[in-house]
Amino acid sequence: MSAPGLQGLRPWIVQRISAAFITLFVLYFTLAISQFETFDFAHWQGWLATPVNNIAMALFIVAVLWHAWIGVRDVILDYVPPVVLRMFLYTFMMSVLLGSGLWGLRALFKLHVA
Amino acid sequence: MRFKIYRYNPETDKEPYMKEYVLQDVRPGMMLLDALLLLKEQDSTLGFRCSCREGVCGSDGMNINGTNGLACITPLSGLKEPVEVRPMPRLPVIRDLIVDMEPFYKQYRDVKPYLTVKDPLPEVELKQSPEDREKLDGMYECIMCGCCTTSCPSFWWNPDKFLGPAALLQAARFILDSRDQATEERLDALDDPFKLFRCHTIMNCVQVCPKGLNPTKAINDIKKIMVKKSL
Repeated sequence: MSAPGLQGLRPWIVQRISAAFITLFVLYFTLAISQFETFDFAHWQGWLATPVNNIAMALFIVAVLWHAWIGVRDVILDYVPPVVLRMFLYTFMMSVLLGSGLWGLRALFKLHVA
Repeated sequence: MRFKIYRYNPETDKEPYMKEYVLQDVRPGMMLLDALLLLKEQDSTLGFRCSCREGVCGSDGMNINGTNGLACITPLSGLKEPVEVRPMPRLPVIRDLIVDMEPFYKQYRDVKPYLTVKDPLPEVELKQSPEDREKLDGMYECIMCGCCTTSCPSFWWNPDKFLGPAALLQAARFILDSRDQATEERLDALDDPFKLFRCHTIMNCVQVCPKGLNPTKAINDIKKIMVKKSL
């Protein structure tokens, strides 16, 4: 059994599922904003405030960050052999990605309850 | 015809160097190995491995003008001059074009390249249907020359942890063998961030395999089987 986050099959599956979701969401998102009568902040906010779009965007943020984490993890595994440096980079990248994710989700949540 | 050949004798040379050779007697249909054998008559200190001379034994794997291949089946007519010949990448050099294949053989041993049967063995033979036997085509033909593994960037980056295309082709060969009864154990052993999943489908292995095999497909087959088992 590998340490958490350092497995083989699971991240590989997650990478593919998240890629499929990201593709579908980008298509849906592009189609949705192309229907806007005027492209302004009010329309954008209104679109995001509907529960379906809000949840879809939240899932999109999670999918992008998870996908990015696996990609970055792979690059680090390939190119950074020293364990200490590898651990530092993992921690740094995890902090950046987790911070970005929480910030994005907080914005979405605030919009939804507002 | 002009050649630049990697030379290194750890007992006498501080560093490797490229030595230039000229071969006058080039005849139509000659292979690179024929040229190396003639060059060895000029310079008996030149070291390289060879045996069968017809692409069967896999002894003379080397890097030819930047691409791995077997010298005995590489026609001179298709090579740009000067022909640069180097040992296969990322394996320790013993001398000149002769590399230490031990790290490569270790990867092979790691995948347990033999049938594992838990049931009592039959008296005569383990039978297999022609359809099941067909599933092994494209895998059992590997001659273990090392051209694929040493051309794989994932092997260059993690030679001690990634198993490399040749060993993974053999892992697939036994995972897909209907007679083998250790499929679960084999799959579990490969579910690790390095052994199998460092393969990024770069496909250098497919490009250089002198037997025309497709280790990338075998690796993807293993991944597909893992996904099916995990559902």
